[in-house]
This record gives sequence, C-alpha cells and structure tokens, in this order.
Amino acid sequence: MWTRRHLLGAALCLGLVALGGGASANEGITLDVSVVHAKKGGATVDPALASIEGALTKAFKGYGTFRKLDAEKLELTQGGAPGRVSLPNGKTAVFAYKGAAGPRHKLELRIPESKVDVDLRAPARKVFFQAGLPHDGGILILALFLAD
Amino acid sequence: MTAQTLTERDHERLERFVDDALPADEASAVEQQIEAEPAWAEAHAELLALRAILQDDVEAAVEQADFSNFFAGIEARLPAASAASAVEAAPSPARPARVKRGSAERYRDRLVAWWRRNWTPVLLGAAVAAAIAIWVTATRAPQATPAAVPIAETAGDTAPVVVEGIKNGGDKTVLVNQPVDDDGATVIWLLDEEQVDDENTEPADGEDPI
Repeated sequence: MWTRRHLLGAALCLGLVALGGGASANEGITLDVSVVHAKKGGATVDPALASIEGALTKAFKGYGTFRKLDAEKLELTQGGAPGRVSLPNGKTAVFAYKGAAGPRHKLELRIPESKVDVDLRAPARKVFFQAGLPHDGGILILALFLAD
Repeated sequence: MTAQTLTERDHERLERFVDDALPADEASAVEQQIEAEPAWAEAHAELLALRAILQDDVEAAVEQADFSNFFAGIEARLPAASAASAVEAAPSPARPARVKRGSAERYRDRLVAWWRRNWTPVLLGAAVAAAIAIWVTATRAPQATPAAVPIAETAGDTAPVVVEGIKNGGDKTVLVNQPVDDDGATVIWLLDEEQVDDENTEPADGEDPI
C-alpha cells in the first residue's frame, strides 16, 4: 500500500528528473558563421571555402568568384546573450538561439541596420546561407552551420 | 525487552529528554517509562554514558590543548562504557549481561530497516525517472557532434531550413530559396533594394536623368 512516505519518495525522484530536464533545456549550440564575398564573373573559389564549395556554387550559380572574409564560432544558449558578427559593410548579423524543435533548432537572425528579423528552424550539421547584402561590387554571403 | 525494541520516535524522545528539550509533561512521561521499562532504562543509561565520555574527553583535551588523542580516547572507551551501561541497566540477575552495539551500528540497522520498508517505491521511482530522462533525451535528439566541427557538407539531418516568420521594417525584400534536392542548401535572400535602387537610379555624368 502506498503511504505518504512512498509518494514523497516518488515525488523526490520525479523532481530530480525535472531538474535534470531543466538543466538540459539550457544547453546550447555552436553556430559556425563564415562571411563570404561573392562577385559575378570569374571562376575563382577561395581554397579556404573548399569544404563548402559544392553547396556554394550550386546555390549561387550566377556568381563565379567567392572569397572568405571572416569566420566566427558562436556559442549560443537558449535565453542567453545573442551572438554578433560584424560584417564588412558596417552592418551586424545577430543570432539568437530559441531552443530545440524536434530534430531542428530554432534561431533568430537579425540585421538591425536593415530592420530585418527572420525566425527559422534549421537542422544541425547542414549548411544554409543568408545572402544578398551588397558589398564591394558583389554580395555578402553568410554560410551557416549548426553543430549541436 | 531490550533497547532494540524502542522505535525511532522513542529514541528521539529519549534524546530530547536527555537534552532537557521536552516539555514538562512529556519529560515526566519519559521519566516514568525509564523507571518502568527496562528497555527505556538501558537506552537512557547508554545515552548518558556516551555523553559523559564525550564531555570528559572534550574537557580533558581542551585543558591540555592537545586534540591529538581526542577521538582515539573516545574510541577506546566506547565498548567498555557500552558494556558497563548494559550491565548496570540489567533489571534482574537472570538477564544475561551483553555488550550493547555502538551508535553507528544502530544507525546502520535503522538505515537497513528503512530500505527494507521502502525499496519498492524507491526503485519504482528511479525506474520512472530513468524512463522520463530517456524520453526527454530522445525527443531533444541532438546528434553527437565534436565540439569544433568545421563548416562542411556533412551528411546530417536532411530536413530543410524552415522560415517561420519574417519581420521586415525597412525597404528590403526577403526571399527564401529552398533546395530542390537533398544536396542543395537553403538560401535566405535579403535584397537591399534601397541600395540597389540608388545604384540603378543614380544617373551617370552627362546622362539624361529622364
């Protein structure tokens, strides 16, 4: 027969699990951001971009020259401080982690100077891009990769 | 009846009695039980003996300002004192004198007894906790990835990037280009029309602006 003591023990165990769950909910992700400058014409890909060359040339078929300008590794946690990447055109890309959503992770991408705010869900270990900001006769591409 | 038959609550009351921490009516009741019941008398004598040992050793050690033999002295006197108290508390000659077990053993016995009474709910609770922990971990489903993974075309989760919402407060256009096959990558285009327009509409020197 279950007594008050038994129920107390079970509640204690469940409480410990809840604490563990809460702690894991605060786990974060690592977001790799590479800043790439792309120009039309030419057929040159920076060797530093060799690991994403295939995805890059396939997604940006109208561009022929790709040069890596910068790379940042952002450690993001849910509810924690957002990560910032200063772009060579004077703008800033701000990334905030909003937690896991099934097999994906929820991210917020902001470019405050352009007044643009995008909420997205992205899978881990899959490259995706943000692109289009004009820079030096071409565009800026942010190559993004989530490593959880 | 021996001191072992006292319940946990009895022991607590007895300890509080020795500490003068019981209300007068309860203290009186405990006093009567000590007088009337041999088990209570034994436990009481044992408690007093233990406390006397502690007090003597503390005082002696403080006087000598040397604590090196403090615990050794207590340990050396414990069995003898326990035995003595057991003999003193024996109510009749017919009762065989025996050496009482130490306090540590008694607490261990209580712990074992508690475990025997409660192992079922504790193990059941632990099993439920483990199941919930596994479920929580599985639903979060983070892929095991080394801490420093370079950007690469890793064959990972093939689910595409889903754009849930766009807030566009400026003169920009946001387009989302989803890949047509698994090898492709999502591109979130931010077209800065203001700058593009400026570039396109700025007339060159000597050019007719109309």
